[in-house]
Amino acid sequence: MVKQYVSLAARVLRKYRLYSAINVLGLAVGIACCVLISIWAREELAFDGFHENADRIYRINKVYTPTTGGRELHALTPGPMAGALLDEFPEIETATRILPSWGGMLLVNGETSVASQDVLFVDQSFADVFSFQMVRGDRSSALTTPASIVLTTSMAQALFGDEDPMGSVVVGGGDFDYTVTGIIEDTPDNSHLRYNALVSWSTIESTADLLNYSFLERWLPQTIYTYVMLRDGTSAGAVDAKLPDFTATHLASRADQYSFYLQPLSDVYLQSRDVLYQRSMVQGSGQSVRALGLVAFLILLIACVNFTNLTTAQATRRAREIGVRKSLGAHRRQLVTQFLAEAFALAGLAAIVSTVLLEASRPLFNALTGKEAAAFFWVRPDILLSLAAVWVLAGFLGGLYPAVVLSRLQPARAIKNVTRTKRRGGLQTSLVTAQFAAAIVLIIASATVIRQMDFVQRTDPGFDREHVVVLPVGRTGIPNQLDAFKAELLESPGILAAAATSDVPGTSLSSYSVLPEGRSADEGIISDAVFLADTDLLNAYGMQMASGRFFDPNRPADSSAIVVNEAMVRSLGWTDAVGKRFDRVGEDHQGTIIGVVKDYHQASVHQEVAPIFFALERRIGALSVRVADSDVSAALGAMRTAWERFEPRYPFEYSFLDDDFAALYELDRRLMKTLSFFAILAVLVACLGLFGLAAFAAEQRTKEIGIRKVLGASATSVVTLLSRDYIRLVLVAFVIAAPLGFLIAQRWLDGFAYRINVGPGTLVIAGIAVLVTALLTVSTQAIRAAHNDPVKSLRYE
Amino acid sequence: MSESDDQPQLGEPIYELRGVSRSFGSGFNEAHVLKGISLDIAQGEFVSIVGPSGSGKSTLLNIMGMLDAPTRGSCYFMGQATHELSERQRVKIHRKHIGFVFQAYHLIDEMTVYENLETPLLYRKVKSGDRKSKVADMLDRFNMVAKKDLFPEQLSGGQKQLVGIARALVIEPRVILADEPTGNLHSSQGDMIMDLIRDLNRNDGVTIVQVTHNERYAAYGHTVVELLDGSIDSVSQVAGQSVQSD
Repeated sequence: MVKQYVSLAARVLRKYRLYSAINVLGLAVGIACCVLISIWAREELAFDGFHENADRIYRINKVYTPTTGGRELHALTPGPMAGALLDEFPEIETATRILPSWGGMLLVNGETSVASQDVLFVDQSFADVFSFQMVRGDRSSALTTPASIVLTTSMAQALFGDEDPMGSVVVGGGDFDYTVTGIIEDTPDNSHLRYNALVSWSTIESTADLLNYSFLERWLPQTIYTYVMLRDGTSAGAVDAKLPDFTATHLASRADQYSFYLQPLSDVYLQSRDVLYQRSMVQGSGQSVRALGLVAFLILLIACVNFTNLTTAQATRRAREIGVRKSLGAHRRQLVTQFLAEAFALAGLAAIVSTVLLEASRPLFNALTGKEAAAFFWVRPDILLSLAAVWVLAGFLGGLYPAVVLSRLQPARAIKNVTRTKRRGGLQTSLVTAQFAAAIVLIIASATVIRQMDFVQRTDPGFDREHVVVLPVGRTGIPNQLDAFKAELLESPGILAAAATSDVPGTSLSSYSVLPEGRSADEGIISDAVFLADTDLLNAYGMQMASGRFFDPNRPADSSAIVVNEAMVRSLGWTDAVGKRFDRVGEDHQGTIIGVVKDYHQASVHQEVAPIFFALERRIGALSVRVADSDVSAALGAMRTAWERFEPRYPFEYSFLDDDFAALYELDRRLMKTLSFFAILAVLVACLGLFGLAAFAAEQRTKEIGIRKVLGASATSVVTLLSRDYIRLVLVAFVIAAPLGFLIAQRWLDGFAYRINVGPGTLVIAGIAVLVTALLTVSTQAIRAAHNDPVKSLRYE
Repeated sequence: MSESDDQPQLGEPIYELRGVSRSFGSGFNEAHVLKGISLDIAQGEFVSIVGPSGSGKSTLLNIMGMLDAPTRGSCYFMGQATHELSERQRVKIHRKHIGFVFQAYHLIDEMTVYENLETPLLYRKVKSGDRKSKVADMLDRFNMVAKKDLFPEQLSGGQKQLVGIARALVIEPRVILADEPTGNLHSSQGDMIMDLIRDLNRNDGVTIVQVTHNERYAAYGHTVVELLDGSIDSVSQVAGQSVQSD
């Protein structure tokens, strides 16, 4: 019996090649998309899951509510917090502090030097909280003694080659000797925390003047990360509930502005898009995971709908066979088994084809996700298991409906093929409608993302981000010889201006406490971001003044002057800021505002332009150099020459400001690429199914069309006749999909402070795109049917 | 079902139809295809049902074959009221006792001659060995051994109907219901098929109920039932034909 089912299924597949091919291909594409997305999504969701106690580890974040309004999330915490938490909270088993080196650090071994971006100062308890594997050295003591450094395998290789680095001395940050006490594995790909080297926390404590980080002993400012590991069986909620009292005790002056909370480690990677100050951490987008998860589901739905529809359509032409089988004594159950067997054979074939597609799409997968997948990356138990699950699901979806409906046919009528008069069942119509609705939603979503990204591209950032080269001179010796270095650069004809600044647009600024005029010290202290700059800032960035003037090198008094941006003026409720007092608290620095800079986007357009003030001070992180667009490479050459003369120890490094800025939108752009790719694919798969259905409908109505033509119907009227139904389907789908797509698109756009609106245009265009594609698909079949010789088609019966 | 039901004696009634009516549609569109048919058919009998197109011949045959059910009235098969049976029981009787032969052959196009013959046995869950020997017997009997691996489209009309009859016969049924078995055949092939059917009746004691348009073929049976507009117009015995005893 089984043998007969199988061989019969094979023959049926071969006989109706077109339908089988469409069916198999559509489903295979659907399965492949679904698997690709789920592989990616699972990796994203499993971030940081490799830590043994991942479910007990939390990062301390804070909600910062400035008195001037707004709300920000920060990952930064006070230095003494970890110790205080450990003392006061019995729920907390371990707490560990991490201080990132904000400007990176140069590590030197003899002649070899490597500029390292991610050097972390960590407690010994780092090894207790996290499960990163030590390759060499003692896990329990490597980070105990001052001036200890633990290198990653790659860093050790880069600095020492084949030599044994253990116990050797590495010079860090110019002139401080560290002893290598261990080798640790490179940061795993799925860790949000990044490091090239770990330095013992005791280094900072024992040499207080080394990094001038004495404020690590104070509760303000806040510059470090704190991670805690709770005891088994305790809840984060219990700790969260007690944190307001804790803040009131230790940080009374800011208790109303700072609200600390525990963020589960499993959320840190995906749910920290809005969290500021995350140096040495990578971020993913939970939103993208959700969006693409939905896409995967929709594509699989579309493919399964195709499968069900085509199998059903295909099966109706076998009504006669069913009647005959019943007259031969077939039981309903036996017929159901037969149709299920065929559906399973087809779905199985699709599953096999999908593995071929998966392997072939590896480069695409890498391009879309920015990951590096190995050959046969899909050969994993979980994937094979889900392939099998999809196989079963599709087999049932595709087989059960035709099996149940057809096997219920009245044999006497089935033999006469009376069933044919009912052209399309209600289920088939609703399925096709659902399919088109899904496609329209996807198109609306991706069109919105594309339009928003275009908007982002065209948004005036308030400064000229092109032709600016950024040199990360922060940790080098160049700031000490700044004037000479700048002078040498400016001799090159291609270099127009150079400004030394604490930060560059696109990065987070430090925040300072200030007391603006008209406010008393009790209620008026606000904390705002400062941009420390030299007098050439406006020239280098092409920023504009709204009123007043910028710092002038020829006026020494400007060293205490302050420039603010328009957002600051607005947030303080002033009309004119120039001439107002603006004091920096705690540094005894009394300033006067001399000008207002027009608003510019320091951060991405996800965030609103925040209040910023500028001060003339040399704490230099980077040098921004404006070059003429005529000869950028000559200008770069001049920079390299100057760099190598002034700072031979550090390799020459540079980046373009527009690239740095674009990196802010990397996650959005990746979402745009993947979403639009899969949206197009979804439409194609839907059309593939439609093509099969239309071909089937045209074939079924051959006789009707023949009669109509004999009666004098024109080809056009026949095409209209065959296409009319589908236009109605798309219209119904549009009515369902438009509001849904609108809501989804609006929700995504809510993540941007500066955004487009989803207008009726986007909705209508999505609808028309699907309508036109559907019509093109259907009409190819309709036109063919309309041009058939009616004599032939009538004789056929 | 008692032991005697399983092996009915020649001459005992196999079909008893009492006031069988069948209508399609409802309200103004209701079409009364059969109107109160009462008819007895005995075991071993050969009955021809004749009548003009639309007189309800095929519908009557379908009801007798349990492919359709009467709207009113009852049909007893070997003493069982078919409308009182569950589908499961109907299928069981059906499998055991009834073979169908169609005008358009209705072979399954995707299966070979051998597989077509095997299918009814598969549905009866006959063991593989028995199945093989029964199919082989049939192929032998109808001289089709050489054609067993051909597909229906590779056969002539007469050959297809041979397969159709062999398929009906392979389950060794009590009754063969034949709906214009010669309707699509040339006269020489038609004669061959009709001779074969008569032999089955005479030699194997199989009850035959056939629907036909052809007067000459109608006379192959013992009894001719003439239908007109859904009612029995006349029942006549054919001269020289009577139910044979073994």
